Amino acid sequence: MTKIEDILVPARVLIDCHINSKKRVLEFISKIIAEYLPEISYLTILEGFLAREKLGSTVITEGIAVPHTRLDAVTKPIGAFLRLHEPIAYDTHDEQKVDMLFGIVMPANDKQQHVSVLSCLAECFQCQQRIQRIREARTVDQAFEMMTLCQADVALE
Amino acid sequence: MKQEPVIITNKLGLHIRSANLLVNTAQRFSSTITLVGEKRSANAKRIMEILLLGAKQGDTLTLAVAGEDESDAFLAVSALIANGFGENP
Repeated sequence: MTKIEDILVPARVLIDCHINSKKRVLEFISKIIAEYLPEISYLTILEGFLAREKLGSTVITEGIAVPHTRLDAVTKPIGAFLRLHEPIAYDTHDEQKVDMLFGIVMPANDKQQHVSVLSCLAECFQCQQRIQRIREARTVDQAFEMMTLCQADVALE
Repeated sequence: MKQEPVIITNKLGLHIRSANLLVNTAQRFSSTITLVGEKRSANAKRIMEILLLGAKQGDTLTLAVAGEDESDAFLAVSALIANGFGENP
């Protein structure tokens, strides 16, 4: 079972980003992740994200999208989290607004892991209380902690 | 109530796109549609619950449908799953 801390580190968490278009957000996430994947260009990641977005929405719950792509050159899943200053229009067809994004690049050949990573994100973002805390977090460390706390501890915080 | 095991056949299992298709199909019916896995069960009309199942290719789930349109709903959902959500096998 994948955990958030397996795919995310505080250095890839950004809060209060002033970005106002979907394209720019995806570009930014691609660049953050590409810094950790020296053999991969951010453009490859961006193209993967955009191709996936064309297939259908990656919004998993209100305000939260998980742009993702699978690449051959990647050996383990790697994610980046962005919280936006203002929600942006994300899916033109259903007018969803998004203010938090969890971008992920996954290995292309490990198909079992794909669902395991998604299930881990669903585990994190199924709790409205946790989402609220992440929205209100004042620092990256607070946001990261909220995302990685186990469910039982969210209620106690 | 109709209840039968279904096998996830598509390579990526219940990922976001297949889960979305499942939700869209399930929402056309008034019946309660539930997928039961080993550890938890999911309302087929809620994407987060489906993703939480973490169902992979080859996994068997139990599809349970109850309500006025249960026969049609059962057919539609089981066909979608059996067809691998239209993805390449």
